[in-house]
Amino acid sequence: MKSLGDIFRDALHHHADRESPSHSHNEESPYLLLGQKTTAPQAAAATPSRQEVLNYLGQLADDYHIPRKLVYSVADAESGVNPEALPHPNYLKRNGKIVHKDGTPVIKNWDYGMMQVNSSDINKGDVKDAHGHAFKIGEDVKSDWRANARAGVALLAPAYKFAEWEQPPGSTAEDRAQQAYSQYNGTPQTRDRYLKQGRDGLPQNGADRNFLGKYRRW
Amino acid sequence: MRVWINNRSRSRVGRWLVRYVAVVALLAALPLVFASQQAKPNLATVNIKENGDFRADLGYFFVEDGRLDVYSGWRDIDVIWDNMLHQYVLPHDMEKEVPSRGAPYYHEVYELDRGEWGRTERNFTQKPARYLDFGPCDASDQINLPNDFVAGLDAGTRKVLPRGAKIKGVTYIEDGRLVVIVASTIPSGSPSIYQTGTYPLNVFLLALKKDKWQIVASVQAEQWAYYCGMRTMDIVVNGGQPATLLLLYSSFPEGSRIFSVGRRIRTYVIRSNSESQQQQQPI
Repeated sequence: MKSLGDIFRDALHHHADRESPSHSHNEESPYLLLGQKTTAPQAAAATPSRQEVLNYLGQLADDYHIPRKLVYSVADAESGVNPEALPHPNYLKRNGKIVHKDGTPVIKNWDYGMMQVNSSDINKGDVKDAHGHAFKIGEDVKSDWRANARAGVALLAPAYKFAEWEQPPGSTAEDRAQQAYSQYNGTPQTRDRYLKQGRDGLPQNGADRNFLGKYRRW
Repeated sequence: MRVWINNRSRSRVGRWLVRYVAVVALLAALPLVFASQQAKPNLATVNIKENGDFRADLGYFFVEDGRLDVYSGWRDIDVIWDNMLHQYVLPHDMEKEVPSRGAPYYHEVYELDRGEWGRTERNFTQKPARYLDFGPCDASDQINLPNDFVAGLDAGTRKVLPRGAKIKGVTYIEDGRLVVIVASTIPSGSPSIYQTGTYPLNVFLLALKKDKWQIVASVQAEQWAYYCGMRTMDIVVNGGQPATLLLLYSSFPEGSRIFSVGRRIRTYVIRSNSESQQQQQPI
């Protein structure tokens, strides 16, 4: 028997299928194109305003039941909340040093867009939407800022939920946010990275340090 | 028929007459008021408007007269920035419209027509045929032009800029009546970890008022970028009016400065009051 969530989702997908490729993105719900491939843009798309981007991220945070502050600060730490952020290369490293081939650094993979979604996550079906349904992160995270935001929040949400479950009573939202970011920025194995602190009491890792600075400002 | 007008009626007529004359006089004076305003130097009539934003990731530009060639290197990053759509496009989507045949550069040509850029050509190419070397951009916000004659500045010019501004480039336009200054300003926050060393870039328009330079218009061109250069050219905008086109070159790194480098040219149309131009009065 279908749950109410399934019925709702089916109805939305049915609605999305009926829409033409030139369907206005401004009217798009965060769910409409979840895991759905986009076609080449047909009409000129203006750069979204910062408010539009924040509204979209905020909506996703609410849907996943994670703090808006966390989502905003991750987007800020990763790209300065820039929906047009350049792809960023991650270099192959051995013993902490970048591997070179013919004098050129070897690129392991790339991070794309506002949430800097890693290319290794593309086409993997192990992330879930806000209703708990598995979906595949598509190639569109490279070109569509909304798809990028959806993928980023879908990757961030389980990291935060895990921190909620793992951290002892008395831990603060900031602790959970830091753990979630250490995982988001690295791997599940690096989720405690933020605990290594310098003399100033801030995380030693540059990315974690940067995130905390942003988090406290939001 | 005789019309009797008593004293009371006379005074009423007189009052109406006075009002009528006053209104007519005011209406007659309006053109004079406007004319005198236009004849006076009017700082509010100078404006700057962005009319182009061109970006090339791992690519190149070439600017010649009213033509702009943009080459985006897309093969490494697996995504193409389209300057017309102003968004990234996936290569296989782009290839449905323009065959790439494995060529590593996406090439767009824009031409200026009466102050507006229009795309006239696009294709994929093996290598940029014409390009402008951005050279070493100011990656550490070090350039701050000195107050000497060569730079065309004096201490007074610098004083009107926001505190902490570093002057990157200066040019005089409209026979020296206006100065265009590109300067970095102190950022209010910090850039993302992938944009280390970047800073805000602003364009200031200065005009002489009572022998002192004053900012008459300004715009923030970039929030986080490196300054790479600027140039101006004379153009004619819609309506046949002369104007100045400002091209501001910048770059913006993501992570490594070796690989992921975006280059950008923003263009601005600078216009001032046409009547004052004809009269060649200081603005």
